[in-house]
Amino acid sequence: MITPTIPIEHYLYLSILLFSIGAIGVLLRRNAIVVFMCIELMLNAANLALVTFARYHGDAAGHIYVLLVMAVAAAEVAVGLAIMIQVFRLRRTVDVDELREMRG
Amino acid sequence: MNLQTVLFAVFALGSVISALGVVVIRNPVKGAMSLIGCFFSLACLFLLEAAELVAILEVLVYAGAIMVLFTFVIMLVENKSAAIVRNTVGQRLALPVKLAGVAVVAYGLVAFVRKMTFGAAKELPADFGSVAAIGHEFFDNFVFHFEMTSVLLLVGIVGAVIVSKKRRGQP
Repeated sequence: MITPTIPIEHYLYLSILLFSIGAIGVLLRRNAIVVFMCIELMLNAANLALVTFARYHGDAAGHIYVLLVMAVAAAEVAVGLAIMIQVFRLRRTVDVDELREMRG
Repeated sequence: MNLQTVLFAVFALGSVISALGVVVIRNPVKGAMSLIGCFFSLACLFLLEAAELVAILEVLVYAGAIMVLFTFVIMLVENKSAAIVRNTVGQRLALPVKLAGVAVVAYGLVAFVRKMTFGAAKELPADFGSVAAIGHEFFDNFVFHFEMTSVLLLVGIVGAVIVSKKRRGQP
């Protein structure tokens, strides 16, 4: 096993940076599939923070949370992409700006 | 500068660059490849933090299973317009507002981390992050969560099948 020596602030800043990049992608991109990929990126940034705190506290519970997040992400992607395919069948597009029926 | 610092710098840079690629690249297939690169870099960072099982599962579940699903759906759903370019005035005005919102959240998080004081990290047990240690933790303290995960995945599978099924009279 490796003994980690990097200060944990570095990992937390990296996690914040990745989360912000993912959030910008979610807000700016119009392709719904790319928006989904950016959500995965944000989830992974959170995973990095969880693993970092698990290492800092020497507690494996953080790793458990990461595994649960992975399971949630897998289920979310399966259902979300199925919805995307169905939307594409009906509308021939997955552009989030063109799908505006539910906008108030 | 020791080896771990160098590795951290390399993989941190790699993950940030490939994450930016996901946001910037127009072609969604290339974006997905970039995201796989990001997951690999993150897996290496997890290894640097002594999280072996998480690193392996990151590659298996994310870079393997989830991204295969993504590339399949990108193949099925060919989309023409995917650029960041905005058409209407309202959309163009919304851009700086969104960026400012993300900047505020990021600044808040950075300020939060700066305020925290971290002492020396705890001494890690020898088998920290190994399959055996995680398995013990799971079945000692998180059995209910584990079982609920199986329910969640079952619901996910059934939901995906039902949602993507073609209904009668649908094109």
